[in-house]
Order: sequence, then structure tokens, then C-alpha cells
Amino acid sequence: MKKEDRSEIVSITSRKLVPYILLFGLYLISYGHLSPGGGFQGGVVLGSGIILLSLSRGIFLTEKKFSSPKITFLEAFMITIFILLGIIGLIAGKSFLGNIFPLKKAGEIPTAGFIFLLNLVIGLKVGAGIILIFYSLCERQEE
Amino acid sequence: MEFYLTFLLFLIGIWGIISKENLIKKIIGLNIADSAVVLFFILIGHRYGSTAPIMEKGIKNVVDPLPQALMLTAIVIGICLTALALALVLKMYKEYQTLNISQIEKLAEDE
Amino acid sequence: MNSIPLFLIIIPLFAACLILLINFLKVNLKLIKLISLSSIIISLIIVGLSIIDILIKKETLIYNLGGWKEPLGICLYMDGLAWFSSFLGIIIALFSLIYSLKEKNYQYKFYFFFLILLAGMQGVILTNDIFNMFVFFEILSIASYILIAYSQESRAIKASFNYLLISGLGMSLFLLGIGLIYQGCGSLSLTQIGKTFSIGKGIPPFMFQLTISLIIVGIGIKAAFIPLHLWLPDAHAYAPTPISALLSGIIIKISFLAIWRIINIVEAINFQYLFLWIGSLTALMPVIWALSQTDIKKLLAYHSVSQMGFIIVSFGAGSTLSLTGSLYHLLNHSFFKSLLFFSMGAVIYATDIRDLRKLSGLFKKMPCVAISFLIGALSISGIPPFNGFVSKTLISASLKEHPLPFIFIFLASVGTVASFTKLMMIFLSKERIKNDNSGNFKEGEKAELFSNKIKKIPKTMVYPIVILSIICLLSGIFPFYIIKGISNFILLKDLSYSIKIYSSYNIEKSLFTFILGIFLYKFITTKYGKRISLRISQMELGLNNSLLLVIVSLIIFVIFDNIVKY
Repeated sequence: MKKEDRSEIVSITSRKLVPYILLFGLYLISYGHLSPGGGFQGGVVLGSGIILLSLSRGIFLTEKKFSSPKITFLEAFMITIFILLGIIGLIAGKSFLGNIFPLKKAGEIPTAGFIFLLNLVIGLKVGAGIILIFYSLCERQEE
Repeated sequence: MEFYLTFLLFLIGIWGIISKENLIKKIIGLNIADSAVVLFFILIGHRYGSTAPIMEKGIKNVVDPLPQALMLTAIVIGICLTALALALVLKMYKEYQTLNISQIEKLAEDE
Repeated sequence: MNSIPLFLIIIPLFAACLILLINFLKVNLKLIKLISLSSIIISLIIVGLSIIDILIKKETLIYNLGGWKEPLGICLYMDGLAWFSSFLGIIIALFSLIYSLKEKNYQYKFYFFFLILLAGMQGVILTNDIFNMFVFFEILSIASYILIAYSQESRAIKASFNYLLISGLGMSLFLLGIGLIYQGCGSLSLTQIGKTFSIGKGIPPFMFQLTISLIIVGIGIKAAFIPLHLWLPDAHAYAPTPISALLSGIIIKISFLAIWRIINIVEAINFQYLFLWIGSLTALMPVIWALSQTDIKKLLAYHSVSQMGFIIVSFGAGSTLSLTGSLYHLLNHSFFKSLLFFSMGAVIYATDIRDLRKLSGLFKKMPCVAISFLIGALSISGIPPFNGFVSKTLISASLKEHPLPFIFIFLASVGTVASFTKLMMIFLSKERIKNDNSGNFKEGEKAELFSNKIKKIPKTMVYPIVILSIICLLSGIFPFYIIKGISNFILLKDLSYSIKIYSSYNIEKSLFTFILGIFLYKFITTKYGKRISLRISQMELGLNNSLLLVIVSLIIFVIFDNIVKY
């Protein structure tokens, strides 16, 4: 996208909006076990923040910051971590994906054992996946 | 009533998949059918006057959370499927320069 | 010991993730191949370890994921049937992987999706939760769409897209069926569904019929019985060869076994009876199309559908003998169909030609492949002493009470012999420079057909072919242990009477089939037969019609019960 093609309003609004969208995504991920939300939803919100950025600033600039190999690495890394977390439960003497942390009362923040950790991993993975899908559909054809 | 509307939406989706010639419209039809199934699941778990399934003090009527959790998975699968289908359509468009299925089939036969 | 089903799923999954991760270290492709090969071998060892528990002690392994017990949580479940299909899947996957090792086009992505496909397959077999089954089916199918389109040829992409659309429609029907089940009995675990989801327990008959039809048609698209098979020939023909073998050899059977399990659980006897008719049509119809094909892999793909018909028809007959025959044929078909695909893939690899009219006189150039292919062709045609003969004998022995399906199956066998004679001619016929078979080729093409352009086939391609052909021969010569094993340990029923496989009647029947098949082949090669087969090969239904047929077959399934009653 050329600079003069870009709308001033869209550019400024998105610039102000994107940090909040990302923050909201992180909130959805980290409170997923207590309130509506969770890994998938938060991840999609995270991804859509980056997509908004690339829609308004052009995919070229965005890809400089969040490059495609980096994001692919994030996705691959997170899914490996997820399986490892599951296997840790197995090693600890419980079953696959069994909880290994102490449980607290409902309503407290570090409740629900390691569901928080799983949510975080899933959120980052889904966010990375959404961004990657967007990148590969936007890929400019060499002609 | 809602069940019938959902079923109607499902039929609209199937009609779109079968009768539309344009590949993109076929994918849209698939998505509509999927959404109808998602709505159907949500309706199964829902009861009037119930709230989100967070068990705090004073909350009695909650919706069934299981269908919602299932549908989250189904939606994610739907996204993957749509993305893959669009990628394939992109490739086919580059090859045949058209999105019309009967023209593509004719071109493929001539090869 | 209980965690065996879990490991069968997560080992391929973990290996796939590892491949994706170490690809960033810019490692050699050999390491990636090593990882995928070792993960499959470890799975094979694990399945081998469980043989004591499952087959000899006749236990059922149940593993609760996350420590949640049955009605609440998802659990994995492994009984004799699941063990059988899981074992078969890993074996065929191992051969396919060995076959693909030396192909240069396959990058890390190929191995990644291959392992994802394997994980999805194991998940479908081993899960005991119907929604989880849906998820694993989708994992399996997304991996297979990508692998079918892997070569990026336009035909492969089109085949993959057709498969995606038809199977996407089927999967949404399946999901709707799951929703109806959940509404009816409030549980998704297959054990609970078996206890509560039946007409006797307050489910309205129409609702029951509709739900089971939705599920059967949804999965049935992957099992490819008539009229849901239209995506299969293209998809299996244009996929890379190891993937064709894997799809034809095991994926369609996994889907069929899922239907088998669901029908057993909800005890839908009517549907089993319907499968008798669907199966006999499925055996016969694709053979007609197969006879008219000129693409060697597409011909094999049509035969995959036809052989599925043999499996389905004997499942429909329902007696212990016929169920044994069905599972035995399933086992045999996995072996000889992957053998046939491998050897045809080797021919395509060596010559770069897919058209059987352009190929001839290959026996001298690749004798090893030719002999193995001959064994595979004799097996699929049901000639003694190969394994296809045994299972076809079992199937036709069990169909004595149903004369019409029996005739259909017999005709299908004749057609199979004819089309494999046609295929065999690429090895046996004399090398012809002048192609008088058809006037479709230009002058320039004829000269460059066989000017010693044949590539050398790597050893990793030859080993699976030879080993599979030895398996085909051995399981034909010693059938009794396998028959006994299937009926006693997997179906858990005793075959009450003994059957003589190599009786003179059976051998005479198969010779009669063979002679008729040769006559049919002679007929096709006449001028008149060629015109007919050209006409038939042009009668391929398009995508829209095949989507419409999905809905039509759904309606047939729903109203079938009422037709039978009145």
C-alpha cells in the first residue's frame, strides 16, 4: 500500500486501538478459568489485533515486526509445550493433562490449577495461527 | 420455533453448497450450514432466564456449558477448513482463471 | 499398561511438533525422516506390547483423560477391534513412510502432515467419545486434504477441493447428528449412548432413524460407499503414491470401522440390512468404471471402492462367518491395495507416464516390481493360493442366503479379473514402439516413449513392495490362524462350524471367474468394447451432482426403515 492511499482516520484509530485489543486478548486468556473467555477466544482477539494493524498500516510494515518465521516458531513451540505439559501430568503420577498444582477456593485468582497455563499456551498458539492464516492468504503473488 | 429457524438456516446452507456455481459461494454455504449447527447446539444447552455457568453465590439457573465448549472446538475447526478451502480456491483460480465450477470441470476435462 | 491408547495418539503428534520445531534449526532432512520413522516404530512396539492384554487376556483398556471418569470426561478405549485397526494402520503407515523416504519432493511439511494424519487416525479408532471422534476425523481429513494437494498439480488441487467440500458437508451432517444424540440422551460417551439412546428408552423412532442416518452418511463419505464415492477416484489417484496407499489402504476402512462401532453400539439392525444392498452395489458399479479407465492409479482407486463393497456387503449379512470374512478382507485389502499402489507408483516414478496405453514391456526392466504386482493382482482377483481368494471365499460362503448380492459379488469379481488383466499387460505385453491401440497420440510422442528413459527405482521403494507381496502370499497359504484369530479374539465369537477353504468347489469357482474375466478382457479390447468403455469413462458426475447425491442418500437412509416395514 502506498502512503497516500492510506486513510488518516483508519491509521490513527487503529494505532490507538491495537494495544487495547491486545490487552483485552491477554485479559480473556488469563481470566479464562474464572469468567467467560479462555484460550481460543483470547487468542483470536490477539490475532485480530495484529490483523487490524496489518490492514491499516500495510502488511509489509507489520511483517517486519511480526515476521512470518517468528510467528511460525511461536506456534510450533506452543503446541510442543502443550503436549509436554500433558506429559508432566503423566509423569507426576496422574493421567495425561492431569492437574499438578494445588487447587484453591473458587474465585481466587490462582485457582483451577494449571488450566491457566494451558489457556496461555493455547491462546498464543491460536493467535499465531490466525495471523499465519491471514499472512498466507495475503501473500502477494510473484508475477 | 428457534429450532425450526435453525433448521431453515441449515437448509439454506446446504442449498448454497449444492446449487451455487461459484466456488467462493459454495464455501460461504458450507459456513452457513456450520453456523446453523452451532446455533442448534447452543439452543440445546439454553434455558430461558438462565445465566452464564459461573457458580457463585445466589446463582441457580445456568445454561449447560458443555455444548458451548464443544462449539468452540467446532468453530475453530470450521475456521481451519475455510482457510484451507480458500487457499485451494486461490490456487485453482490461478490455474483456470475462473471460479465457476462447471467451467473448471470443462477445462479440466479438456486437458 | 492402561496408558497404551494415549501413547498411540500422542507419539505421532509429538513427533510432528518436534519436526516443525527442529526445522527452524536448519537441520538435515535426514534427521526429520529419522524422527518420523522412529516414532512409527515406537508406536508399533507399543501396539505389539498390548497384544497380551487385549487379545490373550481379552481385557479392554480404558484410559481417562485428565483423570475424569466416564460420563463426565473423555476416555480412550481399546478393545479387540480397535487393536486390530490400530495395528493395521501403523503397519501400513510404516510401509508408506519407508516407501516415501527417497522421494526428493517431500519436504519436512510432508512428514509433518503424515504424522498428523497418523495421529488423527489413531484418535478416531481409540476414542470413546463421539464428539472427540468428530474432532479426530477433522484432524485426519484436514491432513489428508493437504497431502492430496501436495504435488500442487491442478488436478490434485481440484480433487482435494472436491473432497474438502463433500466431506465438509458430511461432517456438518455428522455434527448435527451428534447434537441430536446429545439432546436425546444428554451424554456423548459411546458407552452411555449405547445404554440410553434407543427406541425402547423413549427416543422417538423417527428421531432415532434421522440421527443414525446423519451420522452414517457423515462418516460414510469417508468410507466411500455408493453413492458417496464420487470424490474418491480423483483424490486417491492424484495424491502422492504413499498417501494413496495410506488413504486406500487404511483411512476408508477406519471410517467404515467407526460406522461399524456406532451401529453395534446403538444396535441399529435395520441399517445393517441396508448395508447388504449398498455393499453389493458398491462392489459392482465402480468395476464398470474401472474397466474403462486408462489412468493406472485411477483404475486402482475405483477398485478401492469396489473392494470396500465386498467388505460392506459381508458386514451387512451379519453372521459371525460373514463378519469374519469382512474383517479378513479388510486386512487383506489393506495389504494388497497398498502393494498395488506402491508398484504402480514405482512404475510412474520410473517412467513418468500414467497412461496404461503408453506403457508396455516393463517386465524386463523392473522384474521385481512386476512379480510383486502380479501377486497383488492375483490376490485382488481372488485366485488361489493368495489371500484375496480366502476372504472372497468366506464372503461368498456367507452370502448363500442372499442370492442377488451373491450374483453381484460374483460379477464384480469377474470385472476385477478383467481390469487387472488389462493392467497386467503393461508388464507382460511386448514392447511396442508403434502405438496402434488408440489414435490419440501425436507422431512425435511415439518415438520417445521407451527410449531407455527409465529411472532406477530406489531400494526403499522396492523393499515395502516385496515384503507386502510376501505377506499376501503367506496369509493366503496359512489362513486358518488368521480366521481363528479374527473370530475368537476380535469378534469374541466362536465360528461354530469349520469351513474348507481349499475345497475343489471353491477352486473351480475361482478358475471359472478367472476364465470369464479373461473373456471380458478380450471383449473390452475389441473395437465395440472400446467404444463402450470410452462412453462410460465420459460419464463422470460433477461436483454439484455428487453433493446432491449426499443429500439423496441421506433421504434414502431416513426413509429406508419405513420401506422395509410396509
